[in-house]
Amino acid sequence: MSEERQTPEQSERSEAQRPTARTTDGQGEGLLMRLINSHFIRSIYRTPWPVDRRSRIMTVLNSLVLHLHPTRIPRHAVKVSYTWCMGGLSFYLMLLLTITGILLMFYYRPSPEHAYWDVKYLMNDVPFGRILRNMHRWAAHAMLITVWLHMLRVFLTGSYKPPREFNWVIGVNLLVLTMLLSFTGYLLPWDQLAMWAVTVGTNMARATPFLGHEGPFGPQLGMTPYNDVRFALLGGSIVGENALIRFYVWHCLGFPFIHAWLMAIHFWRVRKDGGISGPL
Amino acid sequence: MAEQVPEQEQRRPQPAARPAAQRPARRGMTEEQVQATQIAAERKREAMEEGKVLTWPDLVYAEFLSAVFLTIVLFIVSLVFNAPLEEPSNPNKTPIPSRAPWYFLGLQEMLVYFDPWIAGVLLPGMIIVGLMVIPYVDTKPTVGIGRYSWKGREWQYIFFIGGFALWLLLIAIGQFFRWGPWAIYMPWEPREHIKVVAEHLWWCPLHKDPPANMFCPYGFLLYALYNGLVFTYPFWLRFLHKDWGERAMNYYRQLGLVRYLIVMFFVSWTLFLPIKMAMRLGLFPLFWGVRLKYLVVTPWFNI
Repeated sequence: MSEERQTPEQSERSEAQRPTARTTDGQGEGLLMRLINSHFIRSIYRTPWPVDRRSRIMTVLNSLVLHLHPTRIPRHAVKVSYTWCMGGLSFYLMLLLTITGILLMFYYRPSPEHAYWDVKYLMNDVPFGRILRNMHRWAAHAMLITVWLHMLRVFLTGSYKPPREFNWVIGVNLLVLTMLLSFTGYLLPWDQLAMWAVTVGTNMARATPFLGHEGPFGPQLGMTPYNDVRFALLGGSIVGENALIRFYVWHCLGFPFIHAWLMAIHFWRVRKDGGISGPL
Repeated sequence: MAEQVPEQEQRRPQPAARPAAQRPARRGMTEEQVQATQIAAERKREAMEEGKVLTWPDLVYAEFLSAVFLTIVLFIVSLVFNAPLEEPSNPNKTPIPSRAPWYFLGLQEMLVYFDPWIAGVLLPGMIIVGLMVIPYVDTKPTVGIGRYSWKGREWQYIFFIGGFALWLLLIAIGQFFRWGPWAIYMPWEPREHIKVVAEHLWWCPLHKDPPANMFCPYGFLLYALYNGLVFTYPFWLRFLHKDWGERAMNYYRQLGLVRYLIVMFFVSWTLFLPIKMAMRLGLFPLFWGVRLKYLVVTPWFNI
């Protein structure tokens, strides 16, 4: 981000107003400003409350979360009519899902005896359990919509074109992972809806060419219900105990790790490939 | 040996001689793709000169407000609508219909039109790979970067939005028009009445029942003809319309044989999906009113 370094006149100005604990004194008289300028709050943030151009840039530069962004961005990039906000909201929904998901894990045991009744308990007895589960569910649905719309937006604005080709590829993988996360999560309530949706879904794996026992050339290669790709997915020949624990681990650990890793690359590549796409 | 050394030194490329903007960005890219990369870099430099706003507050506030807005909406939705929870799972009791979550209804709906190995494995794989291939078969890498431009990208827009709409259509059919043993039910039809669709199905264009030798030459020929027409369209389109034929021929030349075959593979399957849907529902003009199960029937696989 060397291009973001201040120009000579800016550095002259900043020489005069070098950020110190007292820089923003007199900016506000109220209780809030006194609190913001207190010793403790000032020690949390590496930059004083942003009031001028320099401190605003430094705020973004000096914050771990905000420095995912460049310090300055093209004017069109802040327009909702251009971005539809969908990429950012997908990321936000992922955070929301992680938080609600972790809280749900406190109450959920992935075994056929407990799973369904733990969810019932969450829905009826756990304080705020119902809204917790509802939010996790609806946020997951919302995330699929935002991810799809993000892909549509990126296509329509030609934002996959060179040099951003590979970021598009990563994005497609993120879309697939989002769907896999939703699908694995669907089994966990262990009710009729969950079991039969996953049965329908994984039955397709039976028909995988070469690797499924009902697929073309599968039987010829020695595939049976007990050694084919469906068996590997479910840990058995039916959607049972083993399938539940497998889906649970994929949903809570496996896929989120891959997802987070790909997301890091996705965001990093946005910056490296020249920031958000813009008109020629 | 000693005489060759200066010669080699002379041949060595001089890094300072070539300006950075003219250096090819990556190997294996076409001239146009390199050009697009350069335009993007140029654009970045230009944007740095003028027309920039500060991330704090202009972007951060917009992000914060949209996140707050979404959270409020989600809170309200979560207060009003409960996430579904039915009776405990029971492997011995199959619900009818057993419906996948809505975002997978596209796949479940495709199972009606194709055998599971195509609908459940091949087509999803092709959708994923097909999406990833897009930037590498784009013949207009310099057109419409970073803006909505119908102009110059008409066919790209039509194909992508068409595919997106087809996916949504499959979901809508699966969600609102399917009931019982996954039969078509209009919204006004009573859902208690269980339909049986399978008995009206033709096995293939020539046979009401599975043919004894498991082969249907008529359907096979039609499918071969369809693919032949799709793959060779630059060569016959000129007989219908001279300009379009010329454009198609240019498109083929721009892509080169390998990339052209990859594109047409995905195009032919994408177009085949609605065609097969119409055939299965008895709406295809050639077999009007005949509900076809398969077009291609062979002893090993059916399409």
